[in-house]
Amino acid sequence: MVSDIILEIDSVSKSFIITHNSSITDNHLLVLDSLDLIVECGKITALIGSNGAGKTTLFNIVSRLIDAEKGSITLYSESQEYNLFKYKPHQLASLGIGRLFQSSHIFEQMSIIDNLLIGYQYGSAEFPYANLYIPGKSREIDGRAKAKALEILKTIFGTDHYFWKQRNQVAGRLSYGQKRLLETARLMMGNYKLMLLDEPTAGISPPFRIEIGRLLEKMVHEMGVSVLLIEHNMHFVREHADICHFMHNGRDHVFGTPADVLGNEEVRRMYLGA
Amino acid sequence: MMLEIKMLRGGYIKNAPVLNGLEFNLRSQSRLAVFGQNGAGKSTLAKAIMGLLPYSSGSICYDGLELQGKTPDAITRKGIGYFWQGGRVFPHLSPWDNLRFAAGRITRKELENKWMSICQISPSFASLQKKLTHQTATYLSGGERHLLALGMVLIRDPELLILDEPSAGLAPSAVDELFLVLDELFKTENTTILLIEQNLDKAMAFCEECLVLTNGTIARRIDLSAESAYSDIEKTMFEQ
Repeated sequence: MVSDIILEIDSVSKSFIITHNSSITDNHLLVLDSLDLIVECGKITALIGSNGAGKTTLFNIVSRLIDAEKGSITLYSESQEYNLFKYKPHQLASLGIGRLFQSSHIFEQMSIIDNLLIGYQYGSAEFPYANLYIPGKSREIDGRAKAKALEILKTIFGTDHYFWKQRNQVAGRLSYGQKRLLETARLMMGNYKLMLLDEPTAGISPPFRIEIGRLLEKMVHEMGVSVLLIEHNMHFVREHADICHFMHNGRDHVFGTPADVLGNEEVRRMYLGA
Repeated sequence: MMLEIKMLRGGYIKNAPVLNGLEFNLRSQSRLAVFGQNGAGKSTLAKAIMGLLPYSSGSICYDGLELQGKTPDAITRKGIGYFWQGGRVFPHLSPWDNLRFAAGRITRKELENKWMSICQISPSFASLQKKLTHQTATYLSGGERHLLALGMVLIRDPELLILDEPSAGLAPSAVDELFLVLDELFKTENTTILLIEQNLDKAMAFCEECLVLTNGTIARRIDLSAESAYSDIEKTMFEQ
């Protein structure tokens, strides 16, 4: 193992059965074809590729929402190696993996601050029944969570920001861009070492795109988080990613710096278009 | 004038209007882009036109007919098509069943004829042909799913097409393909297009004019052939 790798994807394959019609012989769709890919510590690794190239499927396999047919995925964290295929989806947060999904997952009827509190990791080290018999224990944990949420709002966004001013108002009133920003900020409530971000800027207007980019840079360069990012906005990739992988036909087709990959003739022809 | 919107006010919560006295006209056989920050009221405007969101005051007139109180189905039958943000299709139905559902009560033969005429607009639709019946829409790529969603709108022969961020979530080459399809659609069918987009470059190359929305009103209407168009849009969007 090389010390500066956080995630190693080794020969992962996955196919889907697209029809149960027995008259169709070619009814398998190979989405990932012995995919090898590494994610380096403390960097933003962008994953680009056509719709259907297997990017979100890879995220679903890393998140353990679906199984791979073969291969392995290893997480390297605090001098330990974890074979992710031995874990269930709900155990991944405690391993240090957080995910932003492609669609918005904000609790509309809850306040901004409560949406952040949902993301707090109560910690596997806490004895789970402690708050049943230690007086004030749950209040103490809730206090710590709230202090962390307020700290994020104050230091990341500042007291002039609408998140701070409207922190007790329902999140349903926020615009789509604001909700996406809040979701990204909620990831900071967990103690994540690796974040999987699935198209954080899709459908986002330019000013919010800039805010999300700033937040991403803070996560990586100030908090030491590693990011694997699926993105179709090439300005965003060029501006924020350290490494870029172009996926094609379920494989890591071209990788390098964003400038190298986006300048690659094959990538231009197959993905970027005119 | 095909669409006339006057002093439109409305929103999702009482006393918290998203649209604040919005006014504009749209000529027949023209292409108008709508830009603005998230929350400016772009999708809310589309929903208000489609009868999906009752507005509290103002009026929306389509070909001289007031749309207030009309159901979304009635508005669709009047000739307005609506492409939902994200290209919504029914994932567990086959593409063909999606088209059947969208077409309403027409015979199989009529549907086949309509689909053939859509395929003649652009070869992109024809490329969906081999995937129409043998798989569910879940396994279409994002670009194909958006094309199917557009096909589901076109099957009702709209004269005015409202597109809500059709390029969001698509790979750059799929975005190119989608705009080629829209271009062909405009040229061959003379369909009037109201395009809500975050991809300024693509929308500016496609449309003749744009509206920039801020806080539920039209901050500016800009002629996209003007040299200063891009900087005017950016200035209006960023300096609110």
